[in-house]
Amino acid sequence: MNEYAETCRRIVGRLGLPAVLLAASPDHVLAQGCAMCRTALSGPQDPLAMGLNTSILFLMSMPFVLVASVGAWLTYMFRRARHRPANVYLLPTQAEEGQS
Amino acid sequence: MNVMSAAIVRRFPTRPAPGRRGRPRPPAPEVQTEPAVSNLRVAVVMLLAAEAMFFAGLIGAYLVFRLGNASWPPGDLPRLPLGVTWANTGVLLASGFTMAAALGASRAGLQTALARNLLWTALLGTLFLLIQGSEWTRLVHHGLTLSAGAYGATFYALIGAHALHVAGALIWLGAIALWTRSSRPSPEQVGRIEALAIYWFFVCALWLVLFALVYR
Repeated sequence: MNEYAETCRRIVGRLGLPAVLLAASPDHVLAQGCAMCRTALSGPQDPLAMGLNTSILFLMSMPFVLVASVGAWLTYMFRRARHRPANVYLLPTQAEEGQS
Repeated sequence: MNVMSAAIVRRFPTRPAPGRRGRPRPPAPEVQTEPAVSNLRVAVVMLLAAEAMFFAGLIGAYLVFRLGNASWPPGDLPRLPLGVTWANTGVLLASGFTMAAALGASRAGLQTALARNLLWTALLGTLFLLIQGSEWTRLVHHGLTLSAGAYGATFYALIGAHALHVAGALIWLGAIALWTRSSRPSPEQVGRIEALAIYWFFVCALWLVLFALVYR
């Protein structure tokens, strides 16, 4: 098992149980808009409310999409680098640096 | 030290271990592998992630105004020119293909093909901006200005921000073309051209999203 996979497993092991407990929490929360939105919108059928909802959902999803995309790209690049023959080169030792 | 230092492998201890008969063994060389992802690529991807969030903010504002208005575009303002913009989209996509060809030429070490394709990319990018500019002039004459309500403001903010990014990419392209005009591209220069190509492809893909969203 390499270090990367070991670190991932450790993180999931530490955060997994609290995440499951939080998700399974039965408490209901009161969803409410800010004062400006409440006064500006006449109700859920208001077209502006639909626009705000769509925009909020879009903006909320973007960071997840970006982090997932960059993470998937980095994972792909590292896996590809692991499977391709390494272009290994030797750094000069201190003795060789002193000679040159 | 590279950012992706996890990819650096030290297989031998730095301190020389004592050899046979107590004589100190000469220090073993450090072995290093190429990083899986270069720093420049990571930097460009991080920049593009920030750019994507910037445009997401603008698109979010556009969605609020567009979905919040019963009539879009407003009846007293001119419609956006669809035919010319379709042609302009083709111009920008063609520049993406020439940029891909330039990238391939730089990897193959073909200096002439690289210079030719970079020139074509620059010409197509400039043509895209010129067509945009002429269309904007016509729209302003017909009354669609930045202060003509939410429609004009969101249109010029979104499309103008994209045009600024194309202009920035053109300046970057010019600098790269100047560096690589005289000799075969070195591995460092190939990395720079890759970074530019990633940025250019982002700008092209972003235009498709904006075109589908704003001109529909």
